[in-house]
Amino acid sequence: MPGLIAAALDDVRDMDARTTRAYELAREQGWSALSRAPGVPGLTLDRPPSVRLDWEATGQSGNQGKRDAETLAAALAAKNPEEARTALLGLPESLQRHLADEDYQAAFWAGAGPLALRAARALYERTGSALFSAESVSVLRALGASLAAAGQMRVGTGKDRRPLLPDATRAALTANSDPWSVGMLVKYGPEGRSWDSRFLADLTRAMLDARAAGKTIWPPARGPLETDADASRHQRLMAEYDAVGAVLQRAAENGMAARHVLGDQTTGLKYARMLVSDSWHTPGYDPGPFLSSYVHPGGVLPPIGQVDLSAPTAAFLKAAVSAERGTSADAKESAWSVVHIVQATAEFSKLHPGTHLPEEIRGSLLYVAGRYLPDFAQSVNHNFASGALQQGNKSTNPWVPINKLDELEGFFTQALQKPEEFGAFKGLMASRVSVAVAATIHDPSDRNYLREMGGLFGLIQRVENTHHFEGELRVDEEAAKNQMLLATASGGFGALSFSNPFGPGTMAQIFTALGTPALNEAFDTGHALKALKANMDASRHQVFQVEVPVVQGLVDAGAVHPRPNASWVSNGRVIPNAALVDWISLHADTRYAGRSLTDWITEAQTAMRMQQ
Amino acid sequence: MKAKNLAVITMCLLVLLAGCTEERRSPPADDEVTRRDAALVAVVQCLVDHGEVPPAHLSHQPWLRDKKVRPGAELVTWRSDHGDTIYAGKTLQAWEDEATAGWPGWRCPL
Repeated sequence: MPGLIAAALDDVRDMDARTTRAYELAREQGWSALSRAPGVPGLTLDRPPSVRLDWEATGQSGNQGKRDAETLAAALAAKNPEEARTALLGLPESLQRHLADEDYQAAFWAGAGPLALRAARALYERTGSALFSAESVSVLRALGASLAAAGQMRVGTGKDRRPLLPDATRAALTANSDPWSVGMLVKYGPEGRSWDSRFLADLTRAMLDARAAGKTIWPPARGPLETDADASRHQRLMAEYDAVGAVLQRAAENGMAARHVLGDQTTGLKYARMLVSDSWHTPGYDPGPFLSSYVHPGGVLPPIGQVDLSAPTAAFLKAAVSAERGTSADAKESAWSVVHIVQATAEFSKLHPGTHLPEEIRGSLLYVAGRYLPDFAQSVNHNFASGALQQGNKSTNPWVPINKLDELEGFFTQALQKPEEFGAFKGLMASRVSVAVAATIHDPSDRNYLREMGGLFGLIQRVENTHHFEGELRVDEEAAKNQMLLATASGGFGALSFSNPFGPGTMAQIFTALGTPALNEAFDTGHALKALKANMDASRHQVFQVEVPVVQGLVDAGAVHPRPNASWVSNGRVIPNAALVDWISLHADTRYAGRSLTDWITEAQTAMRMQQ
Repeated sequence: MKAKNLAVITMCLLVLLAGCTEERRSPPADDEVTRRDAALVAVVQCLVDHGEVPPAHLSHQPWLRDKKVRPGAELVTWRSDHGDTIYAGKTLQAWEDEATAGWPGWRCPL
């Protein structure tokens, strides 16, 4: 009975498809269902013209999928890119037309799966400057789009619900028989959010495992590399057709896929170790064979010509920690990703003292630190154990990462290297003073954010002291600190309303929101600071450093109510001007939220080590 | 009340972190954190044993089993939420700082 129903449904689908096609063809001939007859007001029904139907093209879509799979299999089996290209001319259009068609997708990937995954290796050009012809690119694009669409599809209902892609195809994807070709389908496939996050996470793990196992992840070398220029060109080709990078990039775009990989409690640390590494570049080549024997008598020389590939890795690390803070499963994975990234970085610091991670990757580490600043501050005084948990162990609170002090120290030892990086990070912390003030007043728990920030600041200072920077470098550090402070103070404060009730976990979210614009590379660093400096004497410069954030925090928390005509505040934003200096000196002993203004400022200065 | 606690804690903070502003010598961070870890466990155990922590503060806390305090990340986040909470006349932070300063000679005074 179910078989009969299915057959009947197929017939209906076929007839429906043919009818739709017939109308489509009729419209192409200029026919409209409702048209005006000459001289008669209103609309009349017009008889459609006769059309010829291509019965094959509109046949049951599963059959079409099967046929396309056979065409692909035959074309790729020929192992001649020239022939394959001709045979596959119609494939991209057919794949594109059936992107949302489950019958087609199931039949196509069941028939072509493992072979389609190796399409890139069959299609690449053996000579010439481009690795793929325009036709080959369109085949790879179509296959990538189809794979992404099929990866999102599910069949069956209830507990029988399962991925549409057959097990054999999924197994072939992760079996690593040709990771480079799989990577090319992902490279030419759609943007990361068009992929199923679990599917993309499986793919990422498979690629990283293949890379770790030393499998072929690079495009094939075309002919012998006879000159230094050949060898150098091949390195650039490797970078352009970097399969692992392509998959990492898509997973980063997807976001959740990156968090599935690094946020897994069992395997996340393993993959974090692979990513937090200085190996993200092309292998380079031995220049020896290209040197005259007079210059180079023989032996293997250190590789040269390596091309940096750390950008997708860095993007992936950022995406892995970028879930919205909260109680969701996504936030949980994000917090575990932070724990694992910190652990992996600390291990790297320990195993490779003196080796620096690529700049892009260190940038991601600072992004992690900025985003999870209050959590790092909470962790910093203890060394028990690491893990992600809900703040205060309450199921209504957001997920937070807790890392051992040893790990945080190793993390910052690697993340911060140059004086200006220390400066920028300290500036970021100082810019959070106002939030810390407001948070300490308003958070329903008895948590003291300002003091916790002070603990983290102490750690940063300890790490910096191991560098023994000279006086001149300290000037760079100071400049970077002020730039960061300015950028955050002018861009971050006031963007958030503190009028909402302070629920549990609100503070962590506010910290996070404020951290993001400050760590964005786009902030203005140059002339605004110069203009400010030109107009400010030393004392007002100091005012800008701590007192503005403190007063801002008190205003935000509703502890200070400026007069409507006060010129040092505009739309809730505190403005560092002469009127503010006057106001501060007049109110030094006035009590706000239980303590004097001077006490607030002193504590903030202490926490941020700003006392002169 | 909370703000008043802040003032007290600020003073403790000044004492505790004085070492960090000194650039000439590297503070014995490892030693300090080892003592601080041990001190926190002892302090919380002391307060729990003497009934100084209200039951509401302890419900569903995974680090407390059979009235025994177990060190771990769970204890760190609970401790953070109660840094300014007053138990037996002092904030938890003040208890921790005192016990750390006196470690390993510190004994529960209750």
